[in-house]
Amino acid sequence: MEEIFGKHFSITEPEAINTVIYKVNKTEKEFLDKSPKFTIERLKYSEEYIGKNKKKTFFLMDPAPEGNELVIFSFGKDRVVVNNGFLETRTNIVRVSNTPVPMKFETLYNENETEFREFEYTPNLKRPITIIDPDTTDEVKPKLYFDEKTNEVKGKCTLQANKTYVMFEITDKQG
Amino acid sequence: MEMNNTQSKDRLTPEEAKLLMSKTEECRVIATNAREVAPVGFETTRKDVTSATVVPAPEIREGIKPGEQGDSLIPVTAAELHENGVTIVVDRQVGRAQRATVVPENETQRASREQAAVEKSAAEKYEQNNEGDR
Repeated sequence: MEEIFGKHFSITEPEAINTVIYKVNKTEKEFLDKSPKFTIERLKYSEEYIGKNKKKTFFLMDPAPEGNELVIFSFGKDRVVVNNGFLETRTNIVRVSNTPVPMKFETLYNENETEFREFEYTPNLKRPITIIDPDTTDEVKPKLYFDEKTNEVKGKCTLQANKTYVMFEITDKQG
Repeated sequence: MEMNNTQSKDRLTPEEAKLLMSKTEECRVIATNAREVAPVGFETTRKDVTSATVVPAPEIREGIKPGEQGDSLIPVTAAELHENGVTIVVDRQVGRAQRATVVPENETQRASREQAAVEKSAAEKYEQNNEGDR
């Protein structure tokens, strides 16, 4: 019998909606001194068109025996819908909250060409913040460089002016 | 606005997907109330979602770093996901505001700006002269 090492589940996306899902991993106690309490992993997916809709199948590898939290972002034309989910490893059920929250931004999509500006953003390994470009739904990763003046490794992010980016971080309740 | 159709690095090819599907178990997706999505042991997790916009300084000057011109990273609104579901936080202070400090222009910056202005003016003059010749 072939080894099973993950789970998959499918959702149907309406036209012009692009969903990305992150799996939340809880860091084990012995690594907490150098790592954040939670780390995230973006799920790989495949898609097929069914009429105007898209069937998107997400793959979650190495599920935790106690289950995994999911963070779901559905990017639309002028808004992002944010939702919670939970994968129950034992029962093979993905529970998705029926009360998602739409975040609407006037500047989410900007048809005018604006310039890119560089911003100082040095990632904090104990407190990772994810930045997502809503146009492409790709993550914006900071570029690292060595600052000779301060003798430190710093980071900078190239962001487009007058455009809204979505950022998120996972913390415990006390944050 | 059209969505970007470029191949995302997270998107699998049909062959890769077929292989993974055979090696993974299928899960059923069900919509449920928010409390069931945060079962015992997971209810203390919170996700902070913030949107931020880069607002450039009113006057963008060449040769000067954005931070020194007074560019700002403005969080617009934020959402929190917790055991009771998702709530929107419309408090800018909750977001991760980072305002670049506005510093007065120094000599080097002034020289750089003036040089850029001279170059621009020379380029325009050159264009005008060329148009006259045509």
